[in-house]
Amino acid sequence: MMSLPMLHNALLVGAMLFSLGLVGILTRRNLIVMFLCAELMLQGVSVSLVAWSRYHGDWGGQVLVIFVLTVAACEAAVALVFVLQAFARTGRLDAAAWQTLREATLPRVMDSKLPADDTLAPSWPTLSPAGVLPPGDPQESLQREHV
Amino acid sequence: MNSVSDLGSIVSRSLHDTLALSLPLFRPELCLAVTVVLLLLCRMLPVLKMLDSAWVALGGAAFALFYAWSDLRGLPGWLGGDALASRQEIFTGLLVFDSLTAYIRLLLMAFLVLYIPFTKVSGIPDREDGADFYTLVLGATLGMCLMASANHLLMVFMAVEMASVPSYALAGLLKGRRASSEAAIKYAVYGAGASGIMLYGMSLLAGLLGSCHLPTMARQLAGLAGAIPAGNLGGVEMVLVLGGLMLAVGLAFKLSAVPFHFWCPDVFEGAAAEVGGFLSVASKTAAVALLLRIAFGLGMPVAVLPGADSSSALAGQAAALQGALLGDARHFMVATIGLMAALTCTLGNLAAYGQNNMKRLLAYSTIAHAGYLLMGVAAAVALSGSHPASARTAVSAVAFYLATYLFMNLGAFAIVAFLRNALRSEEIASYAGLIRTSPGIVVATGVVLVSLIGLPPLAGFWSKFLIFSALVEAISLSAERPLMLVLLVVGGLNTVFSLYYYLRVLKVMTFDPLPADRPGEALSLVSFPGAIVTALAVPVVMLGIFWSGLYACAQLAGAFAS
Amino acid sequence: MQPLFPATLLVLVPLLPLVGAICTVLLGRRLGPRAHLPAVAGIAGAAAVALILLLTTYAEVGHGGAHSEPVRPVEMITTLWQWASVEGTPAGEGLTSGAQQGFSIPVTLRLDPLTATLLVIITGVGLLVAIYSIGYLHDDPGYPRFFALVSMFVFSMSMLVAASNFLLVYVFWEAVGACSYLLIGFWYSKPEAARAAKKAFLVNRVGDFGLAIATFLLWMTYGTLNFHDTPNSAIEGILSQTRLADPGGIVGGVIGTAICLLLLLAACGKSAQMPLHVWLPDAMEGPTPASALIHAATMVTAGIYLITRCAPLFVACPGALAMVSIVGATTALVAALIATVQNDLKRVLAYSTISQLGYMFASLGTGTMLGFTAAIFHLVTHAFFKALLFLGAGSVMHAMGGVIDMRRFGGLRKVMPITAATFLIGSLALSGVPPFAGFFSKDEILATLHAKAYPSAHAQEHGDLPVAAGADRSPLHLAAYSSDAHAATPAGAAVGLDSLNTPAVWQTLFWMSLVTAGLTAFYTFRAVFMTFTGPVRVPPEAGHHAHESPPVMTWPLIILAVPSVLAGWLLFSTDALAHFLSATPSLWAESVRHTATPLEFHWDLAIQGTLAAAIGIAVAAIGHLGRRSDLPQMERYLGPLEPLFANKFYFDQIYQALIVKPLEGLALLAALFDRSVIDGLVDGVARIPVALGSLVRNMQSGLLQRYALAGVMGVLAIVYALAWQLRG
Repeated sequence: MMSLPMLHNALLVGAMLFSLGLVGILTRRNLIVMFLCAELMLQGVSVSLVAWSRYHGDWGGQVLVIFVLTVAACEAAVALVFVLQAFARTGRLDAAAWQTLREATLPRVMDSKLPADDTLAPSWPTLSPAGVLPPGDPQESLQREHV
Repeated sequence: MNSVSDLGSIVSRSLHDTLALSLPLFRPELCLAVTVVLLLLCRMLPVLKMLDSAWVALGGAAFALFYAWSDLRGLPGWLGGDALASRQEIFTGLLVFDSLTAYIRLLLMAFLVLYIPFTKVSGIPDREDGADFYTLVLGATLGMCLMASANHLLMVFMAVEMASVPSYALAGLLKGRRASSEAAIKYAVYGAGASGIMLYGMSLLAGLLGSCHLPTMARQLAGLAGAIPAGNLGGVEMVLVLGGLMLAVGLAFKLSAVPFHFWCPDVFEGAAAEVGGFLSVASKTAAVALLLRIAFGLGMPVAVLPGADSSSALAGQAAALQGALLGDARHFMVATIGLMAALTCTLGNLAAYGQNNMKRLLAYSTIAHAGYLLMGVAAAVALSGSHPASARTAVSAVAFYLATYLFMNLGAFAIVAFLRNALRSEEIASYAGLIRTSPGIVVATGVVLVSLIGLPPLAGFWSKFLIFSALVEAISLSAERPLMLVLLVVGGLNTVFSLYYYLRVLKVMTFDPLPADRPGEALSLVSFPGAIVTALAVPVVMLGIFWSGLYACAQLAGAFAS
Repeated sequence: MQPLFPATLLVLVPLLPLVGAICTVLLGRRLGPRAHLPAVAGIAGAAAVALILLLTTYAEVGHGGAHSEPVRPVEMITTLWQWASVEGTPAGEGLTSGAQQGFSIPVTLRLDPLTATLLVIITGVGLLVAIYSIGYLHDDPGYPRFFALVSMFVFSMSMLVAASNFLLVYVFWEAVGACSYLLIGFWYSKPEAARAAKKAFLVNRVGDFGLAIATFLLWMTYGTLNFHDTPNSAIEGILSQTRLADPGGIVGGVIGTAICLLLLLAACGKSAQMPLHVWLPDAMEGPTPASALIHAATMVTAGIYLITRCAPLFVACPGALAMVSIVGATTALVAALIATVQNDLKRVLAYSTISQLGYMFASLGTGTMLGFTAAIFHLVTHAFFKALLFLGAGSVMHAMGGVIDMRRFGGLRKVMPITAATFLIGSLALSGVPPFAGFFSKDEILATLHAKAYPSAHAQEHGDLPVAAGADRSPLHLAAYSSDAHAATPAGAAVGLDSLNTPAVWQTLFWMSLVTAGLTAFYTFRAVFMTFTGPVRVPPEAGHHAHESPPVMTWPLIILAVPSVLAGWLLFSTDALAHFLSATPSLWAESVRHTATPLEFHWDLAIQGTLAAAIGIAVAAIGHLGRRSDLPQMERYLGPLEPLFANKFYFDQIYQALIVKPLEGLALLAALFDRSVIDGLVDGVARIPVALGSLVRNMQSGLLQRYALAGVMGVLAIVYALAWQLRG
């Protein structure tokens, strides 16, 4: 058995996971991320189901969770096949790349403004030197820069 | 907790329940499952590779059809008995067997038996893909059977997923075509989202009501409604409403009801016409059955329950009392379903205007027909509280509609598929002047499309007529008069709207000039494809004339609504 | 429980030609020159089955002595299925009640002596005509179409006479009309044929309108449309045995008379009686075999069938009955007069058909058992000899390369001896020369009219029998009716009509019929002499065709010639047909049955009739025997009457001026209004869904995110709507 406050907390977590997933599906354009968000929704459901099950002292909910996990795995397998196929075909994971199927009279939706490119040179944290700088090959250190 | 010594009795009880009670009522599904295994074996064993998977699938479907038919024949209501008494919970209450189960199962199996030869003749899937394709189709149909008989939220979820996941794969069947991939991606992602929402709705409902078993949930709901004075529900009510709506989202997705219809035109256009036929007929049939199950399961507690008091009169009284308490729940369901019905029907018909692609047009037509079906369900739920007999009539109208819809819509998709093979095009414009080269197919198209409009003397007329008469009854008898009135007006208007776009196809086929480069006769009725089209079009005509036999079966199905 | 055997067989009679028609439609192109096979096979099967049914029914009625009445009415009812039974009871089983649901149309077939007789005629003549057509139409491009239509017609016609429900009768009444329309316009590219088809269609609509209203009135009056009783139903069928046994069962008075007059209107349309006869002569534009089958032997007799079937209804309304006779006798005389000056062989036969049908109507109108049986008797013999004459005319036309104007050929007996001989037999039968078929049936008709006209003479002969039933009963009816007559006008109408039923009227009708008999002989033999005697002349169109027709065409002529000679004597001397028909439930009604008289051969009438025929033939012989048919004809002696006859009493012109022209004007006006006002409105309305549709379609952008967003917005909208509704 589970106390009422515990139930509330668990349900809150579940609801948040679920909402995150929902918002993710609505806002993200990467197909894999969209699918992950859908899975996230299922995980939110699972959390709340387990919570309810504990609260009622009934195994039904937890049994349901097992099935949900299994089904989610199947679904993921099938969906990822499509995503892979799509990537192999176009080399992109953008959901907006797939809009050929629409009303014939409508124009293609184009992004009017791309977000600023985030290919700035990464700035690495610099540590104050401690002690004597060990001697070494400057070439080698350059190679290590991007670790 | 029970002691270990009880384990033996538990095992023996559940064995008895499974083997003696449940499995005999599960034969059609078992047939499908065995066939799926056989098909997979065919793929693996070199010896069996010689066997064409279509025939294996057809054989399995035929057996399943036989069992489904004998199940329906075996119902006590078949010859005027009490059909209600046939209700039986199987697999410890996960599933329920009653006249609706038997009827829908029969429809699905009949569909398979018609569908497999159709796909065999139309050439999609090819021999290489056959085993995969039929495995997916049979697996999805198995899920649909479970949808029709689900009695527990676990089974609702499982069945919906069992029907959906193979459908995603079917949508992507044409691996070489970009449109097919796009259809599959959209369908899968959209479907995954919808099932997540539905599951969350289930968790809310099940959590608040403390059970996943639909009849128990209904009793709990009645208890909840009885315990709390009216108008003071507040939070619990809001959560229940939210849960119900989220559950409805999943069903609306399967039904392609507004506002969850968006996947439908894109998927139908991208996927092969054969897959479109499957999604539009079988999937819809099962979804309507599931909607009926949930609406009646939660809205009208059944009188006969396993483990309930042996004196059925007392149980009936209790059920009636609980039924009265569930008035608000029913009102909510009627409002939701009715609203969706009106929107779905109107939107489907309006958007079908100006379509150039035949599959897309049929997709919108499918959406519109889902609207008509939802109207019937709304009328049935509205009547169920006060007038059970009229509610049964309304349910049988829906059941009748489903049966005629099977032939009409499968016929339409078959024609699209065969014409695609002959003309290499699915554009309506490419059908120009078809009457000069192949008049038979034009006549068949005419029959199917006119029936979809719902004009006499074809089958579609009677189905619309029955749905509308159920609405009229709901207007005069139920408390939901304004909504039902709106639905009737919307339904009538939509029937008029739909005339135009169906007839435009026929107009193109008959009046437009024949293109110069048309190669000879596109499609003759005296050929395998022609035979399939005839086999689908003739019942449309025959059911328009001899409709009483089917209606008797549909009435039997309607008897499930206590 | 009815025996399964005849019931199943009865279904086969319409079914086989239907299957034949469908096969012809489906396989016509493939079969090519063998396209007649399914149709001929179907009709042949139907004919065989119809013959078996006739024998079965005959055995059921029982022979008895020549003068004994059948013991009981004979009918067998087969309900095929319940069409459109709505509401309530599961209609799986066929025999759920019809009436208690309020809306139910049982598709029911019946078998009784009347139906059995007509079925044999329809399928038998149909078979011969179909065989004949194999030769007649052998290289026509519409060959399969013709056979499909003929077998469709045989199906519709046999359903019409076998239906046991007024609505079904109406349906198939329309169906035979449609077949006739399509066959008249068979050569649709020929403008005359198209016009004739249109005319037939429009004129028939007037009659069909009468039948529709009559059906409606019957439903209002009796609460059912079935002829027979329905099990488990309180409402008796309109012509069922229980209702007929009940003296007050049939509604008379104004309503009854109105129903009967409307039925008469319907019969006039289909059977080409005045004033709706104008379509039949023009219908000769169709192929000759079709004319023989539809416009001579079978379809045009549908009116006779309808009135015979509804005999009890008519007997209850003496005024309507008298109208039937008046219409019939007048038509007979007028059509015979017109026929005397026609030069087109087929048109002579067409007017003669109208005239003979008029005879049958005159006979029906007497309302006695003898009258009804005599009409059917004449129908049977007429079907044989008129089909024979038409097929003979077709044979001539075939040989003459499509020329049918009698002035352009002559002396053909040397060219086509078989046709000439059989045509002569048919003519003798039509003219009523003893002992050919027409003589006996016409004699019976004259006898029944005579009995009505001179009741006293007949009363002396059979003193023990009630005489001239209609005349006796009319005062009774008036008395019964006047008690509940509120409205003066309809009652007055009924009274006015009933007062027609006087011996003076009947005497006029009798003498008209006798004159018609003479005229019939005249115009028939005029045609025979013009066509087959005199010097041999063949028009240039004939080409190499100018020889006897092939055996496939002459054999039907020979086969039809046999009953044309024998049927009359056989059926009259044994009284078999009358005895057989009197077991029909409609004629078993008390009101009809008590007018039955024993078989009687009236020597005086026979001599009168034969004399009239002899005079007619003699005059024709003086005018035409052995002369060139293109010389000036007898018409020059007619003086001012000639243009009247030649213009067919100006019926067409009168209709043109009174009905067609004003209607055309009205139609023009309506079309203008339609184009300017209605179309604009309709177009405007039709644009609304298109505009809305494009609005809705704009949501289908193809982007997955937008779909998902729309879904979520949709749910939110529903939540909002629900919240708003729950609050309110």
